[in-house]
Amino acid sequence: MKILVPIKRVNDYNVKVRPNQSNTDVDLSNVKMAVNPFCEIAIEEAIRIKESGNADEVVVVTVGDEKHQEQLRTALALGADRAIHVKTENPLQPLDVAKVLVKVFEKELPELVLMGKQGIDGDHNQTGQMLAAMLGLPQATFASKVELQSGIVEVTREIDGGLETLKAELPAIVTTDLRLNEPRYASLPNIMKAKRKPIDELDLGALAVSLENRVELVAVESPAERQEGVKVESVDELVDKLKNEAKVIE
Amino acid sequence: MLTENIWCLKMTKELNDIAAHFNKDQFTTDKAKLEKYGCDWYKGITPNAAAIIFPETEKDVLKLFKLCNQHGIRLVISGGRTGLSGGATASHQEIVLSTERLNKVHWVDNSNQIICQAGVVTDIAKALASSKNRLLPIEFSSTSASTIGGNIATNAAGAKFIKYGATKKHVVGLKIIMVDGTILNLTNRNEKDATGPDLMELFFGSEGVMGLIFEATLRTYELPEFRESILVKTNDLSEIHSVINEERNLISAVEFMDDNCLQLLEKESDYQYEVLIEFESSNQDVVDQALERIAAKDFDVSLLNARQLNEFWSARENLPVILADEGANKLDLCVPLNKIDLFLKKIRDYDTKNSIYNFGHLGDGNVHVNILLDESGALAEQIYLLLQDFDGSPSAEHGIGKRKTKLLKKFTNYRDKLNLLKQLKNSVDPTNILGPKVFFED
Repeated sequence: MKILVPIKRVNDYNVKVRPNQSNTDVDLSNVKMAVNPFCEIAIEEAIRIKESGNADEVVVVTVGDEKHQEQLRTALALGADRAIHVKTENPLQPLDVAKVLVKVFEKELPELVLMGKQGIDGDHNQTGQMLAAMLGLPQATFASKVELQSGIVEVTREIDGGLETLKAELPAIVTTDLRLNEPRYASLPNIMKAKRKPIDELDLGALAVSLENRVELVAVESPAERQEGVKVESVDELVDKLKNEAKVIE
Repeated sequence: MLTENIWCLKMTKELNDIAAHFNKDQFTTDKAKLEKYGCDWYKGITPNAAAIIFPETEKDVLKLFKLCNQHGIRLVISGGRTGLSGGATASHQEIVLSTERLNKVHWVDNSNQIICQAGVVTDIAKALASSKNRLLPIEFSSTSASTIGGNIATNAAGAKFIKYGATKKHVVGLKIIMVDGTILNLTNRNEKDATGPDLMELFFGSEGVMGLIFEATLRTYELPEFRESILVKTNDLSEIHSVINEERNLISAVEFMDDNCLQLLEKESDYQYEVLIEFESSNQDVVDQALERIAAKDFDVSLLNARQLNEFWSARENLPVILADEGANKLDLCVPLNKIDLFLKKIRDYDTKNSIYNFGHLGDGNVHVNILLDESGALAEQIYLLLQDFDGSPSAEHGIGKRKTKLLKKFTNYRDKLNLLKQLKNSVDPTNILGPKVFFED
């Protein structure tokens, strides 16, 4: 069985991002980049499925410029078998990414697509769902547990007030939530070895996908600065401040 | 004993006079406040303060010093009270001078410097620097409460010492109020300055006995753009030394924990030590090359992602707190880097009850030895005295305070330093008003 794991390159989540000077986008120049944390969970899950003997091959794929190979190499270091880089200089919106993934799916014919539920940059939470719709395949989103049975994937999702369990016939699209697993540490020697592994390159133009930007980014602004809070020593002081300074109680 | 009784009696008579010179909310003898402000994080000395005073201005400090001189009343200067040596503990009916309200801070644009009054909380100063895209590299567990004045008075170090040095490295100017009312403005704004000894040194690590650090000017640094952290698991810390020596220019922190600490944090490990090494540079390639060199060594080593890194640091910062809650006797010591491994092996031999927890800043040989179940303090004493055979220091970054005076006296190699310090102290504070019983037993 083959698992396809689409991954995204995003800013490292410890980096505090700021709008650029013209407020047209987030300033990513000289910002440390990393594999999107939800995608890292998808990679980990795929490798665990392979290690348990339920899959033979884990293939990772990403769409973007040359630098995206860094994230593919991280996935190879973690244990993915093969990496596909769909090359484009222009960042794509979720619908276009899903269209590209349809082509990759048709080429690779995996039994399972495991991917992060959303990127921590755009927070779109769309690509997995759109991919499933376009392929006409079952989808199970926000997985907190994934179990494979013959021809079927059983997915547990955390919903308000409890857990929901879904069964889907393979092939299927599963998107991963935060508590599915804790990704392993990437061993440094493996990272170095991964630098020398070949990556399959596909040119976006050759995939014959019709791209269209349907969403226009109008402006990016920092949130208004908040006034610093104060600590109070006692309940009386709190009540006094709420009454006389904040004037929210009488 | 007799003299101390007289001292207490006299205090009660003079307190009213001092109180009368301050606003009502600046002076307190409230029991809960006396306990809170009367001691630092070291709980081995019972707090016994006569009163707490909160000066708000230079004038307040001068007034207080004058009154103390008049009445012969002793003072303990207290900041964020996060010290671990009882340096800010009032144990003999001293008045506590809390710097809490000396909390003005401002940014100097053209020099990228911060001017802080003594009571500015470290994290506030750090946040100010970071809002200007600059770095104030003071990093340790208690920066959310510790104060700039306290950091200077203890010359606090911490995780980033290996790259940025201790607090004194960041100080370019000090405003000191001496106990006789003199105000000193000491600066060191030039890279080279051969105008005699650097007398700011008299106040770095002076633990409140030489004068009040009223205000400090601190330099800030460029934010490092690229940072990577690796985790090495090993049974032999000497393996790490070669990495530290080879990559010293790029390393900004080396933190280690032993297996007992890991167990306390509920982390599984097949090795005796876990060591985090952090690399910083403005050039990603330089960091990558260092990682390649390390990958070529025969280590069990991983590169940490953002989440794993946050987990490591939050565990590392929780560790001292968990150990404090367990009632650990916390030892702070330093051993030359090449002797650390042997030193730790030796103290493991002493540890028959498996009650020693070691962690610390490996880059500079600073080990925090934490001992549980050592009520008599015998094991602690044994470990401290062992330091003499290893050319070690009985206080790496927590100071001497009132806690380690007896111990320090046993270290003959510090005798000359202590004698000179005593002479200097006598010359600036002849009646021993500031920080009695700190450094010296009297």
